[in-house]
Amino acid sequence: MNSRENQFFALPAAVLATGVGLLIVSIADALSRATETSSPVLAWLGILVFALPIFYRLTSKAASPRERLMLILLLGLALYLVKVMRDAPLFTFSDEQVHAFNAVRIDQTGALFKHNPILEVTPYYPGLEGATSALMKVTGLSVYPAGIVLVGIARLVMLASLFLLFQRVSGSARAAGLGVGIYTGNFNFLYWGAQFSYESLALPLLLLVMMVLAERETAPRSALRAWGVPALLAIAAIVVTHHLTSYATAGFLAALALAFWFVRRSWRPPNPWPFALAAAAMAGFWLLVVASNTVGYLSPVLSNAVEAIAHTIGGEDPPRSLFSGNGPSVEPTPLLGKAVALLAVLALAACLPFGLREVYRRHMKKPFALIFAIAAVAFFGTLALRLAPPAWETGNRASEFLFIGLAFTLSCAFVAALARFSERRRWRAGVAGLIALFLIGGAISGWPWDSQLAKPMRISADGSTIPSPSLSAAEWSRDHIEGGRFAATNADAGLLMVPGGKVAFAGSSPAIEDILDVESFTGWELPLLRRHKLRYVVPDRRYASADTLRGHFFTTDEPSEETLKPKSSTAKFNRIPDVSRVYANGAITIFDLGEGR
Amino acid sequence: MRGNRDLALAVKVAIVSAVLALLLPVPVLSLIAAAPLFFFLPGYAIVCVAFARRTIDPARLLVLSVGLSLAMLALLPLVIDPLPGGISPGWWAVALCLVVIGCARGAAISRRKPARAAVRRPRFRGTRAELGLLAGGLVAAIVAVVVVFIPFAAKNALGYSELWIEAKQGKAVPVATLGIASREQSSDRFTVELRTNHSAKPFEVLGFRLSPGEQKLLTVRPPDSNGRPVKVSATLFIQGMTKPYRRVAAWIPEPPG
Repeated sequence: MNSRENQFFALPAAVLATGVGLLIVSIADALSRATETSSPVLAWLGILVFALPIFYRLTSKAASPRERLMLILLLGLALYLVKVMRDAPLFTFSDEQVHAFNAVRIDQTGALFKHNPILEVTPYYPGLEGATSALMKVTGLSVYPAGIVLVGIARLVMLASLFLLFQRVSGSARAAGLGVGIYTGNFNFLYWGAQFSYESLALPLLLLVMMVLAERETAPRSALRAWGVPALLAIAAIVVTHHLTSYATAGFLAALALAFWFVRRSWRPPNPWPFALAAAAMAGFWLLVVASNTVGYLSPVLSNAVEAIAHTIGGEDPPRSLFSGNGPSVEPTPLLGKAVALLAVLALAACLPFGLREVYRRHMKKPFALIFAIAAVAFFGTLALRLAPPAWETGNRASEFLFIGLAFTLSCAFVAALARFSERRRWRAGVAGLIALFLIGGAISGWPWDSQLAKPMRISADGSTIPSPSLSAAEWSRDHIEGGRFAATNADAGLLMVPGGKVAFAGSSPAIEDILDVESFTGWELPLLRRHKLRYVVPDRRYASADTLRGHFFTTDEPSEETLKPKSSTAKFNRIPDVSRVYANGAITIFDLGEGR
Repeated sequence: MRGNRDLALAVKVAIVSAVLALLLPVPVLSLIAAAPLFFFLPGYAIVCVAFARRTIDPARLLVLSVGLSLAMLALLPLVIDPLPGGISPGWWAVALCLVVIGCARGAAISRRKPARAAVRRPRFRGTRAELGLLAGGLVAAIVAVVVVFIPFAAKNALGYSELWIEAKQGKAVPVATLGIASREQSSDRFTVELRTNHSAKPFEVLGFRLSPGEQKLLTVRPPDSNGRPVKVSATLFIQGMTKPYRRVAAWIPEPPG
């Protein structure tokens, strides 16, 4: 390693590259907000400007573990900012609005477990919202800055824990750095996993538990109890934060305990079976005593997934076509995007056998490595789930956990390859390029092509700032209606909750979307609205308003039959006796059904 | 905690951090003051008590401190929720400080001998060129974030206008407020017609021009209806369009439920 490279790729240079890269991403977002382009290619270039030098430096033998950790944290922070810059200064993901609503309710009422009209299960996992409301209460911040600070810190903990975990298991800081770099290629890493949602806190805590148990495995017998304290605290925090992660924690710990037994034929410490038992007991207690509605929430998702797989395999249902949007207004992924995403998956699959060989040769006596290798293979199983429509979400969520194993396995292959090819620069550049391909390909696979960049939520016209129709309706409701319960389309309901501060129902339970979409009433609709005390009804003629990813923003397409529902879907409310049509902005109308009517 | 300078410092910083966070009126300054108490000290104190008789390397200490602080933030609401007054700023400050003080005290008792601070003060020995690179990167990142908050003109975005009506409660004479806000891309002329009970002839017609972002509030006084609620409708027209552009309607005064 010559000194020129050390100088060039030192941390300050990486910081400069990160700043410049983020600026390019910000310009790409600005162009998209100005409706000049929606192609994310410029944003990828910006990401590559900082990611490639960092990946290249991570392939070096010369970098110290501390430098690698700093580079990983810098990369994590920069990638998080890519997501934050896309949405600031509002939460625009539907899950974010649900959790932000819960945090605001805790802040306002000073109590946990308040009802959420969209996702009823979420208030019973108050870890993230409780922590956010703490920041809000003590500092006076609003929910958006409090939430992004909290999730940002959680992501740094996640990457640092992953680095230390991989370092301990592989015995190599170089493999650890590369492993974390590969993990950023996880399909959900860039966007979905960075949102203000309970899993964004729970997953970092799970990685903290893994890191702690990996340290415990190699610690002297006298230190076992010391490592147990942080593990138990983190497990307890996971249990109160996110259902799926708590079950994944219990499952992972049980698998790890079995792997320990398989490798060492012993149940004695440091076999982590007591932690598996504790995690299962805590998650079971929380499920049965506090959050029993989780069963009703998760069981349809899982049973639908199983049913869909059976139907798709049996040929009863056609397989889901990849990279396809849902509706005519959704821009399809271009060939370049599909090619990059597929190439990334193929490259992951092509590297897997080499990674498995390395794990077999060097790490077979390590329970963690064994579990990681199994997870790496299982990851490709979850890709098959993407072909069955209702199983897509299950496969997508599982892949986030399994990618940890894949990242470790591939990092072993990369370190072995670099050692074999005598550290030549072109091989190092090749490895860095491959990891960058995973990162960009993962982002395309995990998030729709037309939603990778910021969209116009507030625009400038003649020197004034103008909010989008959905945001206008939400802000008007906040400023002119005291209290109030609303029935709205999915996208409008999210903004009515935050920043509107309203209790807004949407979706199919109760059947709000049916009430808003039908062209005339058949008799059951108004009693249902009354039963749920929904005084305000917010029909939105845009089909896009059902889409929580695209419905919040300004539209650029001229209204047409393809983009607008029939007029009668809104006009039917005019015929209700004593109704007031209190607000109209074109697509969106707000009706006041009156108090007690 | 005599002799355990790190623990004594942790307790002092926790208390100062809590007090400043509660007192500072600017949220960003309050966040900066609260950061050690929220994101480091509780976890640090827990690590100190768990590893009172062992050493732990700085990287792991740092990750555990921040990670366990997050875990405490997730768990503590369950403890504070049943307390009188529920989850409040005061209880949060007290709870976090108690965690730090309690664990620091436990660590001080458990340590075999007084310890020096577990984390050495970081020393940065950068050259001018390196400092320049760092500053350049930081400035570029700040500019990137600032750009996010600038609303840009979006010529392809479809503008719109808002029309609303609000019956004013508790007034001796029934009135309502009519609001018109232009969210169009250019300045336009508007006309608003006010009618009662679907009558063909408007009782008031008003014309005005609004620039983008501008709004106009009008007070609507329906013709005398002997105290009975009348339905007032307002129809908005925009220059160059013959069809009604927006329509709202409300009962004035609101009929009893």
